[in-house]
Order: sequence, then C-alpha cells, then structure tokens
Amino acid sequence: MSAGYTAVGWNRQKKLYDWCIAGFCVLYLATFVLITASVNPDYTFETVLIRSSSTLAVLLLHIILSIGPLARINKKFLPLLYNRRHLGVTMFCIAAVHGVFGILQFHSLGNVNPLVSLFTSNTNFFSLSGFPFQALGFFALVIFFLMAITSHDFWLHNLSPKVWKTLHMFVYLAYFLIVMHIMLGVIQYETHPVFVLLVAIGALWLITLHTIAGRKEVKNDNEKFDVAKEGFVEVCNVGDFEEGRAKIFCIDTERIAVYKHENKLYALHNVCKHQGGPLGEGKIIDGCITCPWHGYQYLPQNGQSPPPFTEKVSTYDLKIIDSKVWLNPIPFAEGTERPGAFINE
Amino acid sequence: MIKPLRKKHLQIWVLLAVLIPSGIISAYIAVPKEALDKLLQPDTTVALPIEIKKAERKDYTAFLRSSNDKNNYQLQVNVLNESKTPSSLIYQITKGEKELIGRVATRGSYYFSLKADSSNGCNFILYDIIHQQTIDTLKF
Repeated sequence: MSAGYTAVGWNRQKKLYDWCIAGFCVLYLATFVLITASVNPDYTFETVLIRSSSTLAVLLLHIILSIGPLARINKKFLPLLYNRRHLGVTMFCIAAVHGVFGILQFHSLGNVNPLVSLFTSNTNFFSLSGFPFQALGFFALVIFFLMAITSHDFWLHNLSPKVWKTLHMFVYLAYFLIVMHIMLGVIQYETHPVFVLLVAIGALWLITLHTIAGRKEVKNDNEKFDVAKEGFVEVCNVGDFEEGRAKIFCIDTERIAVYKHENKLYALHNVCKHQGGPLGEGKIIDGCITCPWHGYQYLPQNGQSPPPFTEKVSTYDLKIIDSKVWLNPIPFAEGTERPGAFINE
Repeated sequence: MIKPLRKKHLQIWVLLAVLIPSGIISAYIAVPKEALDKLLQPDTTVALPIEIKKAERKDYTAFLRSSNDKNNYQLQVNVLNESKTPSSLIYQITKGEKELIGRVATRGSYYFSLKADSSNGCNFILYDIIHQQTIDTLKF
C-alpha cells in the first residue's frame, strides 16, 4: 500500500510464488535441452537456446493470460493473481533472451547494424509466407518491455491507474503479434501439423476463457433491481449474507460491495484503489475488508485504509426493513463514515 | 475492475476471437507446399562419377554431375568458406519452374539428386531464407 515504496516487499507467499516460477522455468529449459540433445545432437547451443526460450515464453504468456479470467470464473485461482506481475517480468526476460539470440544468430553476421537488418533485410510485406515475421516479435517484445519496467506500484501511482491499465492492456495486441510471429515464422518452415495445433489450442483456450469470464461479468452487471423507495433499492434478503463476506450488486453503472461484519451490514464501492480489484470478492481480515488481488485493506465503516495508509473508497447508505436489504446507490464522498445497518436476528 | 474496463476487455476478446483464427488459418494456408515433402538435407553423400560442368565462386564451387549411363544427374556444392548466411536454399529452375532441391550451410560438400532431364542445361538459385534474397544464380 502507498505509505512508501520499497523495491519489492517480500513476504512468504511472494517468495514461494517466485521459487515455483524459477523452478518451473529451470525444469522446462533443462528438459528441452536434454530432449534436443538426445534426439538431435547436431543442434548448436544458440539454436537450442532460441527454441527453448521461445517456447517457454509463449507457454508463460498463455498462463499469464489465463489467470485473470480463471480467477473471475473460480475464486480458487485468486492466489495465482497475487503475484502475476512477477510471472510477467519473468516471461519478458525469457522472451528477451529469445529476441537477443535470434538477432545475434540471424542478423549480426553481415555488415549492417543488426537492428537495421531486422527491419530492412526482408520487405515482403505483401506476402504471407515471406512476411517479415521477426519484426512482429520485436514489437511484441517492446510491449512486454514497457509492461515489465512499469510493473512496480511506483509506476501505477505516478502514471495514474487509467494510463497504467491502458498500457498494460496492450498485452492483448502483443499476444496477437506473437501468434502471427509464430504462424508466419517457424510454422512456414516446420511444417509438422502439431505446431499449428498447439498454437490453435492455446488461442482457443484463451478466447474461450476470456469470453466466458466476460459474459459472466456482463450478466452480473445487467441484473435488474425493480423495487425502489425514497432512493433505496431492494437488493436481497438479510439472511443471504455470510459473516466477514460480501455480496456484490451492480446498480446503474457501478458495483457496490455489501459486507456483513459483527452483526452489521456495510456498503462500499467495489473497486479497490490499487489496481481495481473486486473488494466484494475478498473477506474481512483483522477487521478490515481485504482486496483479494493484492491485499489492500479498508475499514468497513468508512472505506478508509487503516493508518498509515491513505487509500479511500466511497461508502453507501443501506437499511434493513422486514429482513429485506435496501441500498442507496448514491455514493458518499470517499472515506465518509457510515453507521451501517444493524441486523436484528 | 470498473464497468467500462470490463466491457473493453470483452470487446477486445471478441475482436481477437475473429482476428486470431483468421490469422492462423491464413498463415497455415500460405505455407509453401513444396517444402512439405522436400528433404532439405543432401540426399546422397557420394559424388556421381562424371563431371559435366563446373562453376567456381569465391566461397564455393558447384559441379553438375551424372552417372556413367547418363540416367542420373547430381548437383555437387563444395562450400569453401563460412557463408554470411547461416543456411541457403537451392532451387532448380527448369523451363521457368522453380523447385526446391535442398539446403547448404557450413563448410563441406553437399550432393543433390536432380531430375532426369537435367542434361539439357539447367539453372540454380541460391536463396537466403532469412533475409529473403537471392544470393547467387548458377547457369549450367
């Protein structure tokens, strides 16, 4: 949270997450090298490195792009979201190894600057099979680079969440560029159908996941609340709540999280100030609503982060009439104290 | 996430659901057919006995060879120095038709079987697949 910045605030979960990433990468690279060495011992070190790093980076990119929708479909995947940016930076580093060795191998032996050669050696822009696919990979790598260097919270706060999020949504363009980099590159020469199948299955998996998650969100957003009285909207029964947990209601355009805490109901804006995480999908820990994405915390009665932190979200009025919960969707200023609605049980 | 962002995510993936399959299918259709069943490594390791013609270059020497009965023809390429291109494809040009016959890479001798009618003169193109440019042409 934003009381100050340290390079990386390590905790046990982050360390475990990073050890898992490192272990997986080392295991993958070692397996790739061993299989290549046993099946085709004539391959050079550079070739093995280019191929192993490229396949590993693509695999990691698929995992990274799967985490978001999986977490929206099933909360069990939320722990993977916690340090997704570490996975992203790792993926960039591995992709950079592929890019650097690729340029060295294919563009550094001539008398032209390798980067100039990358863009000028092939200008068949109107041929699919001869398209300069390496440039597509280069542009994707530039996007990954920008994402990696701005992944720290320092940049999130200084660029503003809107700019930061817009920049990081370029990952979808990068993914498309990578798919075409593969299809117009290696697939044009390695004609075994299994390579095309793997690319197609990966793309189908991501498209399906994101579409399902997106449609689920749209369905939640379009839920109608017809009964209204004096600005309050009837949303549910008081018995629908679980202690320390919330229900989320989308009224008009925004989502509101209603939490049950110590026999009272409190309503807050559902969007975390950090990265827009869904506060209503978290839980109350040590008396604070805790965002499921990165653990940012807010007090239920006023939407303020506990001192010394300074984040605030809007609060809302609600009341209970005959076991029905009524919510007023007009927000109070961020951090405004509200009494909550007492539950008579 | 706020509602507009959720909507934008879904819109992007709907767009990608069209673009990515189109890209994959188009690129797969565009894969050169001649490469499907063509061995890119030399298919023989022994030179045929009769040397018909010879072409000398700074970095390599090429020979058009045949068997004693003139039923089999062969192109021999001796790469003398490391080329600036990691690997080059060799195409045979016959009556305006281009056919991939193999690939040469590091120093060494490479042998490629040719069509039976190669006696009536034939041309070859050495092509750099990475830089997408013709390196040299051989006319026998």
